[in-house]
Amino acid sequence: MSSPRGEPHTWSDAELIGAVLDGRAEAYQPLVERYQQRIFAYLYRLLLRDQETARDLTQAVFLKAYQNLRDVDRARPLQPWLYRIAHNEAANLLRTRARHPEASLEPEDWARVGDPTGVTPESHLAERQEQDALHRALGGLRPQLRSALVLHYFEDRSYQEIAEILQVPLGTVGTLIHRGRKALRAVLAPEEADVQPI
Amino acid sequence: MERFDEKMRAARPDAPHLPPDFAAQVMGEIERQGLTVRPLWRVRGAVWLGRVAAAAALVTGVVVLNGAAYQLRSSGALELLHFGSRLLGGFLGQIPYDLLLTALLLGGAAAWLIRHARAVRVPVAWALLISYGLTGAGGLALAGSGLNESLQDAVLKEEVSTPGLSWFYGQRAIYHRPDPRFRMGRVIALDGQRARIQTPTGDEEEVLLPPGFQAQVGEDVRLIALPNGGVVRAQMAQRCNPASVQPYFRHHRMMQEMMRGMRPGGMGGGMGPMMRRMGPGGMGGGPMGGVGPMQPGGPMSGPER
Repeated sequence: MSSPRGEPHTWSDAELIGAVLDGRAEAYQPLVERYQQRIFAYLYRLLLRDQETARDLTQAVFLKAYQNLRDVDRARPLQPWLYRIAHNEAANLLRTRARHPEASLEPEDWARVGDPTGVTPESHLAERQEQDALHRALGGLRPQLRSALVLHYFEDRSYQEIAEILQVPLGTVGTLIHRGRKALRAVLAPEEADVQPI
Repeated sequence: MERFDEKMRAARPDAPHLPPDFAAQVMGEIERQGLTVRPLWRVRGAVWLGRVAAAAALVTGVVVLNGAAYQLRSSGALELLHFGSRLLGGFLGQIPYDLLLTALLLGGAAAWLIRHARAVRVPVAWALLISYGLTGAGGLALAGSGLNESLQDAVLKEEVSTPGLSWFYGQRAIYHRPDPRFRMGRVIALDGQRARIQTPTGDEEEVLLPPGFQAQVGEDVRLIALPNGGVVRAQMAQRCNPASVQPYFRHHRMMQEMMRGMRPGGMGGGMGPMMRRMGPGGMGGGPMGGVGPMQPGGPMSGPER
């Protein structure tokens, strides 16, 4: 197969994948550069600001993606496929942490993870506390619910994309977000909610 | 709701930037670990293997559950339930627990494979429902199809000799644990409450029917009866639906043939554990349960039953 014209950085995803499959492994680097920050940001938010783990997991995602590159449908966007790998990697990690709670961060640690100094302006204290409470509540959800909420609220993904990433029917996405929302509301304002946290 | 959505969006953490050489690090790691792009058969192989394994577990579960259902139905164990809880112990003793447990494990394995090998992306509850639903419905449908009876005949006539099949249909008598209190047979003579009953194996026995029970010659009856002072006294008696009698009689005739085959030197390579437990006296052990010679022309045998 002849290579596309121009610098590899200007090639489309399909062209870069084609080059890698033709044996030009170096064509994978521009692909990583193109999506690394988005995948890292998703994992960082999904893992509730655990920067080190999100970084390690991002690398694992791209290593896995490289090995499974032949599975990519080049007629479709690459991003949901990468998100799907990221979700699966994170879900595996979260399940392992759930089985071995001693390896996971304590809820009160969440506030410190993204803010090592602990310095918070007075005026933002209440808001910050509420956000920390939200993150802690998010951390108590099972991986699929957590992913659905993170993808919807933090990553602005459409229901269609979320369905593709989580590999669930489109209708299930609405259910997952609804359930996640109810669970969070129950945690944040238990006196107002009539449901138990999930 | 809108306020909650706003709160959620406001809580979105800003992600820090990855180091500029992150992609180069990934490439270095690919090289260091010697990673290569896997061929498609390896990438999709795991999914297909999961699907095939799930299907195999489901099919095996269906076959095993079919065996359990066939054994339960044809052994006449269900007949014991007509007396309510009185013969419940006898019924429980005839359940092929090993087959049911195997079917249960296979159904569970299929559900696990469906879920974890991504054979089909469905929630856990659905995976379990699909797996046990298919195993249950398939097993019961197969048991009701008449295939077991055909295979049983073929194995007993030595027309079929497949390992597994031959074992189950040839040695099925190991599950035969008749309740000594239970009798089922046809009334061939009547004198007041004293009835002469012919069992499926052709034996005849005098039974004293319970007071008030009106039997007729030619009727099939089921009894709770035990020998008492030299007389077999029935404590309870019921008339049978001829349709439900058929499998019971057929099973007992087969059981007789099977146990002939299980004797040393016969089909199946020797005496099974149940045969050894029952001893040479044969099936049942009760007064009406002795294995007598088959009477091909007798009123209790033949294809009309």
